[in-house]
Amino acid sequence: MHIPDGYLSPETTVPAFIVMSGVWFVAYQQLKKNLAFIQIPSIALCASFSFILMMFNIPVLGGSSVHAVGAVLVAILLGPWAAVLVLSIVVCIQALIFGDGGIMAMGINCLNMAVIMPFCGAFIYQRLIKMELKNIYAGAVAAYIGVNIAALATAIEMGIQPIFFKTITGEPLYGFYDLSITIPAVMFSHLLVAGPIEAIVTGLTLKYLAKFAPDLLRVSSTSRYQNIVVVLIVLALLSPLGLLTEGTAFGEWSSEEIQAMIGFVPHGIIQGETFWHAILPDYSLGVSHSFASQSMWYIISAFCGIFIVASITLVSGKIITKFRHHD
Amino acid sequence: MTKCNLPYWLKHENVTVSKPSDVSFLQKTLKHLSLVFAHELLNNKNLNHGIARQLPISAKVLSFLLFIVAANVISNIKFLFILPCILLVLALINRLHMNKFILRTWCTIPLIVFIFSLPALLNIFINGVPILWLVKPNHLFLYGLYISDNGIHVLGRMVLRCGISLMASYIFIATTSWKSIKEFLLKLHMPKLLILIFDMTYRYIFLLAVTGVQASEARLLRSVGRLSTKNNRRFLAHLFATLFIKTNYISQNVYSAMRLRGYKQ
Repeated sequence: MHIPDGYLSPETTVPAFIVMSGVWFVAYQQLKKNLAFIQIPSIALCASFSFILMMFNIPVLGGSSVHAVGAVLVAILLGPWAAVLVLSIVVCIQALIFGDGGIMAMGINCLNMAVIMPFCGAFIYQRLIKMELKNIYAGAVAAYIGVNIAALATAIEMGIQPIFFKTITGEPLYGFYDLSITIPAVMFSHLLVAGPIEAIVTGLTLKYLAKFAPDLLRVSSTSRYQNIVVVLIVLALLSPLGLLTEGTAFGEWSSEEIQAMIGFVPHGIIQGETFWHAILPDYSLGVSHSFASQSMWYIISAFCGIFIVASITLVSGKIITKFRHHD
Repeated sequence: MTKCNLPYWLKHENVTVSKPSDVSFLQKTLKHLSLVFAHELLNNKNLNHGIARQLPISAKVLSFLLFIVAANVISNIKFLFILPCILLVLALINRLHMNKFILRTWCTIPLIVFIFSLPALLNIFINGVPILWLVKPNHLFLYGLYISDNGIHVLGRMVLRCGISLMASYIFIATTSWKSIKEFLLKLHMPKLLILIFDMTYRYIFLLAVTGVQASEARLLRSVGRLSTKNNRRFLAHLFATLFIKTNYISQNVYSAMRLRGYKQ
């Protein structure tokens, strides 16, 4: 799952670094707020444990190898925000010292293994525990699904490279396997080998811990907003996928498109277009029409949109609660 | 002389020792890991005394990042070839162990990337001018099967980028002490708490690797005969769980030691 340098374009790795900087900042704030000082050595040692776990590469068909990550286990034991920092430190040491995963690709590797995997795993584990499933089975299922979601993200990131980053002659500049190859190749080894290994390691370790160190097992305390924040970040990052589609969504045609389709533009539509000018028409400044530039503006627009909607919702929520208290 | 009854496993040669191959990969990996940390990373005496050692850390970080970014941005394969040559010269100037340097940089991940990316050479993946015909056009391969010039460029770019990244990382780590990396992170105003966790992680990887090696060796010495896959699987799960429990135990002791030495939050 560690993507080396050379497979991904800077247009993919740099935004991933920017997103991860935000995630690291929030994770650090959460750590400072929620974690007792006594847990600092535990975090460092969990990172070492996860590092050891990742060292056991198992060869799979096609010359590749897979390994357990331990992200879901760490998320279950320390909470997903602590897992973000733990796994990020591990990915950083692996890239710098052992060359496992690229330096430029560090941000995207952290996003897959230190954000997507622990959050998805912890979320599924909590839901399964609430359904009164035994922790060994809940942990195993959460680990299996978590590692496969992270693997799918890796496959998509690698598979979109030849679609967007190529020379004018069509020669791929970075990774050359498209989605039709990366998804089956990565998912095959993870669904059949890495997933079961992750599930067995997580499930049996949880069983062993429940038997010999039950005090270590505590359901991590994620607030109700934390999972939503992660889902929103992932959706915002995926927003440029819409650029892949040809044509315009039904009912969202511009006046030029309507003119081409029906031969005239209704008067009301012309009036509507002159009434209001958008700040970012078509989610861009219209400076460059390259995919990289458009993607960047899509992501920026998505984050702006999330921020504005969340702010309005929070402020209106506060005002409504205040009025209710008055009544 | 009294006659004693020997147990079955002592009479037959082929069952006297447990089969180590099932868990040997575990021991090998952990041993390699602990050796790398003990001999190369935690021992400052092993740091070389080349030019890069004398350079300020900020200059080293900047040039390290420059190489990585340049490798990822440059798409002309001729210019890309220049970067590993410069790095090779830098390694020579800094008196790095050349065999180890080449082995750790070009014979690991770039080799895997090369094997993985071999199909890129073929025109079925990347079209281009034929360089070497493998199958002339026939009813099965309408356009034939050949190695294309574009394919060579793509493969070369991927392997070179990966290798350059590893070479730059190796030179950086081999010429920089852990202490100066920590000082640099402090200069960048990185929170002390994170640097502390980073530092502790770095040191405890070695400790856990040694504990893992000891546990697997102890188990090997206690085992007799061929071990079933189920037993090996159970051992691995127990080893990871035991490591985790030991991790927690050590962390409590570390916390107490830190407090006794007057460490404050």
